[in-house]
Amino acid sequence: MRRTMIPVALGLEVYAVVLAIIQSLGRVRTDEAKYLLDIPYPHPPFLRALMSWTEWLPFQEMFWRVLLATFFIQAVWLVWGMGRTLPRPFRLALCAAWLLAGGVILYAGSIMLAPVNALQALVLVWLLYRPGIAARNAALVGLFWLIMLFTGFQSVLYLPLMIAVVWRATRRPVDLLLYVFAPLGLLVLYTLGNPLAIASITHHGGEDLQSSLAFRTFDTVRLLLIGGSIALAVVGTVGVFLSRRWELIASFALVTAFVLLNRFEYYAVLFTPLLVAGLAVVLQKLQGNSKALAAGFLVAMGAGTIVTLLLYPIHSYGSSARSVMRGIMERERGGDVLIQGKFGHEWQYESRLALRRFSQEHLKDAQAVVCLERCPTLPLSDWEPLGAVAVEVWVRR
Amino acid sequence: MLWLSATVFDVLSVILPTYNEAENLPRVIPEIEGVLKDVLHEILVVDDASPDGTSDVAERLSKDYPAVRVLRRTGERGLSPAVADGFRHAKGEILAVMDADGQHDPALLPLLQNEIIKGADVAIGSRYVAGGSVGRWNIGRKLLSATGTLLTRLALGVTVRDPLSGFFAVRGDTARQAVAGTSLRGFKVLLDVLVRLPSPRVAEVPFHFRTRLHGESKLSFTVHLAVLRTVFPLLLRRFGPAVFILVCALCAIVMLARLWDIHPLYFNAELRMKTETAIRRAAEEEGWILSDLSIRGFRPGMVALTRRAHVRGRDPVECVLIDLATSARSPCAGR
Repeated sequence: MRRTMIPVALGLEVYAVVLAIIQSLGRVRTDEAKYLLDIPYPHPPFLRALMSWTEWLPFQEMFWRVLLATFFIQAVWLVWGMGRTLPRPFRLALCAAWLLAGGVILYAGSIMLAPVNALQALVLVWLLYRPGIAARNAALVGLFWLIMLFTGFQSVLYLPLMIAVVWRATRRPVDLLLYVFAPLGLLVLYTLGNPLAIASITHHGGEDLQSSLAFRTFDTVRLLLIGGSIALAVVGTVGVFLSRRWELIASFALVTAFVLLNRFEYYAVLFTPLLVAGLAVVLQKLQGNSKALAAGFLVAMGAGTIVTLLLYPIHSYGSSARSVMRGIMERERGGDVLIQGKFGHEWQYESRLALRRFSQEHLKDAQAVVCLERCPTLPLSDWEPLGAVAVEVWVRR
Repeated sequence: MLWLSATVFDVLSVILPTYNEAENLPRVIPEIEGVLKDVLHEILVVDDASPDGTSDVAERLSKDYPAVRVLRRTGERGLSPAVADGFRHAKGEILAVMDADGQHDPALLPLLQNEIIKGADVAIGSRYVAGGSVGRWNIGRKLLSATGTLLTRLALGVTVRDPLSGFFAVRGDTARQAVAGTSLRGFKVLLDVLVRLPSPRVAEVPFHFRTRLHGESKLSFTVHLAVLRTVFPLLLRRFGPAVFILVCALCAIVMLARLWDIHPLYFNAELRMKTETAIRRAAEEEGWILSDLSIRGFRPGMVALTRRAHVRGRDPVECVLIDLATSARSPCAGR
């Protein structure tokens, strides 16, 4: 086994890099730009602060894509560890399920916080299988939970997993208070100290209140199927309930309720670690020819992955921010860049110049106006169009 | 010269773990025998299948020195497992462990034995108590040893000045209890033993570390890493909860200070409404991006904002005061 570890790890790394490259084809998305620039709303600061320390890297985007994809794909070793008591074919099937899950393929290599929270949840699932490790390193587990909470608010959905990890490891209420609920208290303090974060979450959550329950349910099931590439979603969901482990069922319920309210595509990945845990339960209970059963599952997994990717390919975001800002910065003039119309944070990311929303008062200090909606007429004596860019841009003569 | 055929109280078993020490044994064993000529003892050479014929040399020496016994190991190699095997096979009630390369002075053996007889669980030949020394080590080795020793002392929580010494004696039942049911790993045997004993009584006897007679030292960077791998989990277990509480406390202090700055928002609905209106109006008029703004605090009739224009590279930052009644803006400095 040890002799094959290095070639396997290298092969996995190639897979991770490929996923990162595919994600990079869509350029930096507005949410990704938020984290790379450490823009505070709405999520807590841990990971975005780390990311902002690398702003000086010209290849910052690619660096984080490859790093996060590496963590995602190499996390399969944790899944391998979860399957210690399974026959080898089942263990391999469990690992393949993680690597082929829609949540992993579609979001490894993205610079988003929901996938990172899902990856952290996988660590909690793994710790459930290794109570000895949690018992010997309770403080470290507590620190991990603190980091997880301060990575993204979605981590609260996995609170049941964390309670179970600590309780199974130490059986001491004081450890629960210290390592589980004290960090949660800190998150509450942080949130109260950033009221614009609360406003942002409330605004974000209220954007889709008019959708019917039936539509929400359908969409939630759709995201569940994406997160598990159909086969893992079905088997994993059955396994979660078959396990009769309250922490898996409770986390699954919380994630489902959360997605029901906020059906963003990237929330599909929040299901993935729970589905893998459910699959492990099913494989544990299966009897019969493990090779045949594992092969059957892999075929279903492969087919489900292909269908998922055909229906929901990795989005090419297609913002023109990079080419436009490059064109403006090449002129090496001073002054702000004004943007008319709604724009995402990727415009800030692609710019080394301060951006403002367009207003006539600030025209005199501006060097460029980007018209994402119809611009007012600008005096041709002072302004000329910037050629060879995808949107209308005016630059000062 | 006394040798034994059955377990006798206070018999000293000297355990010599060996790997490629064929050149050193013919000097070391007679030296030990010379020191222990009036002491009931055995010398147990525990050899890890040395390719240089160390165990054959030991067998030959046992013909001249009947107290010498040879244990040939074929299983998992390593100093700690070898010593653990030595503990299990030794017949004495006091077990001493020392190197077979001449760096440990056998003259210390009776002193270590005496400390055990006086009541200690572990007696350590210590380089770091008054009267001891590390001999002619270079600065790098001294630094590594001192660092490892300091970390180990912190991790163990036991007042031992040289927990990484390879020269020590231990009660037979204590030693066998330490190795029962577990496998010792790593290079620093004493550390492994101390970790497994609850609140041991430890005595330290000074000694001077001598130069190796022949052959190469097995102390490599990998060994130092192995020590760190043993020590860090211990440090974590001992100090982890305190460090965690400290981290949480520091975070709480910072966040409470922040919360104090903006707490009026939570108790005054009118202030909340005025603040939101003023910020939105200012952002619209100035062309600011809302996510670039954060509330610093309140002054009479005013809200202080930080505007950080997020861009690649250094973010321009400014502090702005906004009048809640008129939305007039002014810089914070000097107010």
